[in-house]
Amino acid sequence: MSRVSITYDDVVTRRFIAASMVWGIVGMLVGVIVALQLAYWPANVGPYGTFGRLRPLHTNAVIFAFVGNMIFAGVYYSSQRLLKVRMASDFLSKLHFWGWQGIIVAAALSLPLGFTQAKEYAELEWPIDLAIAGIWVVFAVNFFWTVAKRNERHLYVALWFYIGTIVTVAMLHIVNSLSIPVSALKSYSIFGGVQDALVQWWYGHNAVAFFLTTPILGIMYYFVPKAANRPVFSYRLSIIHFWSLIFIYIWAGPHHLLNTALPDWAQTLGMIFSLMLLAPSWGGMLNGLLTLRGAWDQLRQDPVLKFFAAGVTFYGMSTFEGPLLSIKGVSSLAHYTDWIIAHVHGGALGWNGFMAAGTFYWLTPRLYGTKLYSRSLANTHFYIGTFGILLYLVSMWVSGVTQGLMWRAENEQGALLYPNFVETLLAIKGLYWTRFVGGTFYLLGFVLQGYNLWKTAQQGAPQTVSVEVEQVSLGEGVGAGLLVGKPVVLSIMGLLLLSALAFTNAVGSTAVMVLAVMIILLGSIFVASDKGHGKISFHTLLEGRLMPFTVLSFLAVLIGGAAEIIPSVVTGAEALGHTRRLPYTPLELEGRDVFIREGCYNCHSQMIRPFTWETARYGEVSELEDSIFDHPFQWGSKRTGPDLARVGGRYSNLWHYEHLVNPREISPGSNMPNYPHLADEMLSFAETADKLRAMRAVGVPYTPEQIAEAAQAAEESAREVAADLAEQGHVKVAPQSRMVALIAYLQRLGKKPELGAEENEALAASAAERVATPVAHVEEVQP
Amino acid sequence: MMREFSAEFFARSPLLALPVVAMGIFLTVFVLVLVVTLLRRDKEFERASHLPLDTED
Repeated sequence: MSRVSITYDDVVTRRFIAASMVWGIVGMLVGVIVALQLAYWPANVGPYGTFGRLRPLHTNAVIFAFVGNMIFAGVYYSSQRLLKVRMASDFLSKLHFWGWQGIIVAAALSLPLGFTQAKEYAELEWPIDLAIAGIWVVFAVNFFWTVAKRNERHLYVALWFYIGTIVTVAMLHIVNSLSIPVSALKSYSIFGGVQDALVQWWYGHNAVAFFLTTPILGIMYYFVPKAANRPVFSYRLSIIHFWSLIFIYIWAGPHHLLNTALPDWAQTLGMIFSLMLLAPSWGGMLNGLLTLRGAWDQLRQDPVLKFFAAGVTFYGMSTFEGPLLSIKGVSSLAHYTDWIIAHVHGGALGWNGFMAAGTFYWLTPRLYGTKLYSRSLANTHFYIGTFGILLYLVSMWVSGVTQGLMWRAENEQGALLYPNFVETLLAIKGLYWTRFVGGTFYLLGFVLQGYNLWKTAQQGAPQTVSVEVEQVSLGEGVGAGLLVGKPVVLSIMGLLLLSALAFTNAVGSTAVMVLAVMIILLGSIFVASDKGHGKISFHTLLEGRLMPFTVLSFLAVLIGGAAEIIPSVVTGAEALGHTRRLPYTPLELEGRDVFIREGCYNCHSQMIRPFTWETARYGEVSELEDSIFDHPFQWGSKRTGPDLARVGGRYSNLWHYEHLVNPREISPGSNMPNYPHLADEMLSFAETADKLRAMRAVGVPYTPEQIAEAAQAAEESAREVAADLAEQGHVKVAPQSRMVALIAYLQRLGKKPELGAEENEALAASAAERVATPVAHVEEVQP
Repeated sequence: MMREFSAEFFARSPLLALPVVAMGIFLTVFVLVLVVTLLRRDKEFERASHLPLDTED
């Protein structure tokens, strides 16, 4: 066999590390600011610096900019060494790096400006979504091309997790971002109401799974053995870990929607799969931790191992807490509270942040041919960071449980003990300050890390690493025969059993489901890793074949998503055909866009759960039809303020005006920002027809006449609201202002205007016409 | 106390035992497979598990 010299492309790794540190500081600084805003409302600076606009900036910056760049650094470095080949294309590597940074800059500008799709962790508007898809394809092409050119036949476990990440993130992003553009920076999701909720949390949960977890697990499987200088504890266990994790994870999304109007079968599915998720998660955690066996004595001295050990421990803690929170009873207490905030930050700060720290402290000295500038500074970072996390988590746990208990507290007569929502906010104010302090400590530790890495880079010089490797001719064929191997056949049998769910009752189906998963996962994994005498196991064969490995990974994640989303989309289309509810009026639709623009969903849910304490506080339980025309849905995930699902008609227009101008005038102690600027910002009703047209394209039954008269109708409604404000409170507000539109929207929430007989006929005619000639025809009837 | 708890839990339907048993079977089998996996020490995956340690940095 001939030998060949290769030079690794570590320039791209150095760039991604630098970008991760810079964006990490930005993202965490914004996190500290939004934490301050919750404790001290004057820290909100309208219109661009309010909590509703900055919170998505914080989450996106930390997830996609800090962790995203960290992932790419780890993937580029480890893949080249595991595959014994330089990245296939320097141009694609550069395009990936600069394209990703461009997307981050676009996000950092557009989110504070109010351009948002209002779907958590997927807020970016459609042109940026297209750019993300494009750059992800660039990354995928470069990665798979590199794998195809490799000089190592065997694909190491870290690479499986990278493959799983690349194919799944592409699927999640594309499906969840499907939308109809209204203008250059405005679009509506093609999914509405419950379908949108299901798709969004299928995406949202799996953004955590396949962006914040699986690639970091790949990094763990490469860098922990490197740092400990010993192989992974059990390679066989990593096979179980990989397949069971990616198969089960994708089903668990509906646990974000427990006790909501989501159909019960989907909730149960989400809960059961979330509970099962504990097993593979802890299998992986143990594999990571036990890789450090025999190296425990180095933990006291070596900051890299210290960060890795703590990071993997936080992973174990978060993956225990996740299934716990997915039990319906626990969720009834914890959902919408700060407990969820504690849960996500245990994962983000402990798992992602500390794994990034361990990786960067190990990588940077090697990339610059020097030693770490200061080991003691890195140890200080570890202790400050850990203290910050603990302060953060404990305060949010206490805050969350306090909120949950106070919201449900009733006296002996069944009346709420704390009927005024703001009482429950005042009770946790001190905890919000504690969280702010904890977050600040963590940020300080992170800044120390940045300084330490920068000084390390300065004292060394960028290294160019060349190695000689044996050139391997893969000559493997595609290995399509593996696609019908024993484990695959066994999985298909399990899936057929899973399809029997449709013919069993609610309780029996759960048993069938768990047994089917057992056959699919454990049976096939066991068969896959087993071998006859002198033979190579199915999985060893699979690990040498890129195509079948990628196809099977994709199928493993596709099944869960399809099983949950397809039934929901089908029934959703049927529900649209039968509903008697009326779509929003043009002005209400404009007001809804103001609600979305200001990020109100970050603090206010629109989903009353079937509990006495919820109906006593907010009104009748939410129904699926309440949000049938909501593109996107606005059920929310957190209640810093009260639920708004049935706020319509509860207060006067003047009350809403005064509350928006200064919430504390109406509700002393509130931490909601002031929104007086909404009265000065004018809407252009000329664009309202375009919005109705886009809504019609996604299935909302606006008639061509309604679209043609949208601007006029919006103006008339706005004049009525403005006149009422003038009459009731001598308040002079321009009818075209965003304030008036938002009030109109809030007054509609929870009301159930229904179609009359004539409107029903018109709707049926409109639906028939829509089927024959979709959107283009509407253009012709424009005035 | 456990008796009261289980009486309340199964009050709605004795069939509720099914998913609990199914989950128990899943976790038991998972743990068994895990133990068998950890106990098996064959040479097949030895080279693969050493791949990260193959290269100098």
